[in-house]
Amino acid sequence: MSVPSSRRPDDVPPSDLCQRWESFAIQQLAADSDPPAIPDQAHLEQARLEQHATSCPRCSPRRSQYRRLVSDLKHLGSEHRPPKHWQQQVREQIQPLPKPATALPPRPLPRRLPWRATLPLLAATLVGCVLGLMLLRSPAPVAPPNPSPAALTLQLRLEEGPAVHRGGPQEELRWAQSGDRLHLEATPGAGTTETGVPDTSGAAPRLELRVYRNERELVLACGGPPQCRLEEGRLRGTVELLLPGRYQALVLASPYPLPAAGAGLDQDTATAISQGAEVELGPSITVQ
Amino acid sequence: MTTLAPPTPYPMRRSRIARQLEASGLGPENRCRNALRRGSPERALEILMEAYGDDLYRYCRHLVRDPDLASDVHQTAFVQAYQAFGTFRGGSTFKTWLFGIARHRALDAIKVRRRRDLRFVAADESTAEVEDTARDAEDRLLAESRKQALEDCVQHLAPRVRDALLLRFQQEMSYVTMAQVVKERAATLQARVARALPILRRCLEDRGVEE
Repeated sequence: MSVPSSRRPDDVPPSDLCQRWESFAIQQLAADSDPPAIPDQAHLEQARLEQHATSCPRCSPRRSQYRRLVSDLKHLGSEHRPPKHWQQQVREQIQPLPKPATALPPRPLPRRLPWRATLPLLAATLVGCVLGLMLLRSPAPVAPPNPSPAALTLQLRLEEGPAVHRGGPQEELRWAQSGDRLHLEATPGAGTTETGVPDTSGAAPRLELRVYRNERELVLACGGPPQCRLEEGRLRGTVELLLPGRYQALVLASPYPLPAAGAGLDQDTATAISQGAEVELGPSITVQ
Repeated sequence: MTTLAPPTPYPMRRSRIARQLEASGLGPENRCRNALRRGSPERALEILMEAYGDDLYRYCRHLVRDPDLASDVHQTAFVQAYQAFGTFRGGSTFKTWLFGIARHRALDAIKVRRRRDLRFVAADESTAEVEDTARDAEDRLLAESRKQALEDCVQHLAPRVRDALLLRFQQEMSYVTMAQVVKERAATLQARVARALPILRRCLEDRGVEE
């Protein structure tokens, strides 16, 4: 238990400004991340209250208290994890159940389209009809149906280091010991991916395996030999997990040159996606 | 040697990149939708379990305040979601829908537990009060860290207030999304959260962890 400071905020008599500031601060903290715009005259009041809070012996520590409280609430219960093998238990529970109907979830549409917005739709329909008629008049050779699509996949396998013995499949991939080796295998997608992104390039996509430590440090980045192996169209690599931290693997695939890595997991992934790459991320593996 | 891991979805905790992935079709919402389109509810369930399993468990744990019961509720929510895939109309995200299911199951579980407790303890209500008080006192002694104290303070909030607070801060949901989960007005929920903050601050002060 911490020792109370010599002067607690409650020891200082509150003023009207204190109460107004606290009410204002609470509303700000409780608001969504993008609070609604406030009228201009309210800005003056806001500035006045903030100025008061910085110098007031009662409000200043209270502001820190609220900020810390909100921050703590965000991480509340972060140590609580579902029991091991819970996913397997759910799988076992659904096994005897009849397969549910999977009606296509309709995409939400605006409730009412303004008539101007329907014009492009009408024009597109008209063009479609005309093209359809033209196609009917001169039948073109029909392309063979696309084979069953496969998605870009990333398979991970953990090889335990010496003097380590752990059991259990699947969910243990989240944890590893220093010295374990992580084997990665990336398989390029074909046709349409799970994400619905069509692969229209026709050429084999460039593949690259990456492993980041603590989302910043690039531990592995390879698109082929010598660091990785290309076997039967699959890209394989191995990383020795030596240092403690959180490791995350991903595979990138693109018909175009892939952007360079080095700005961290988030930034690199976002850049790759923005340049049309397909990305598959592995689970976060914590090395203790 | 441990052989592992099917193709892996993205953990949703990092909300910024999760939004980017969702926008580009790589996020769990789109992947789940596409899995259902391909007629694979099992794959859709796997995607939801990977993406939202941990967050949903934390939410259930705080709602029911019992690890075993939370585990039951958590798994039941996923099983029911699997059974109800055919009824999902797409009016919200899968996450919102899933949290709504879990919340209902948690409330049911709390009701059942309350009825059971009443049946066995109603004969002597004062006993329950004494036990609660003793537990509180014990908790206070044991709450050496601020984290424990905060857990304790949150658990002492009224269930509806706690629910709103967890969805807002722990799950970082917007009030509009929360309104879909809880079936109440967004403004009501925001007012509830705003009222809870000074209560929590005072609670922490009372427990001596706030200076």
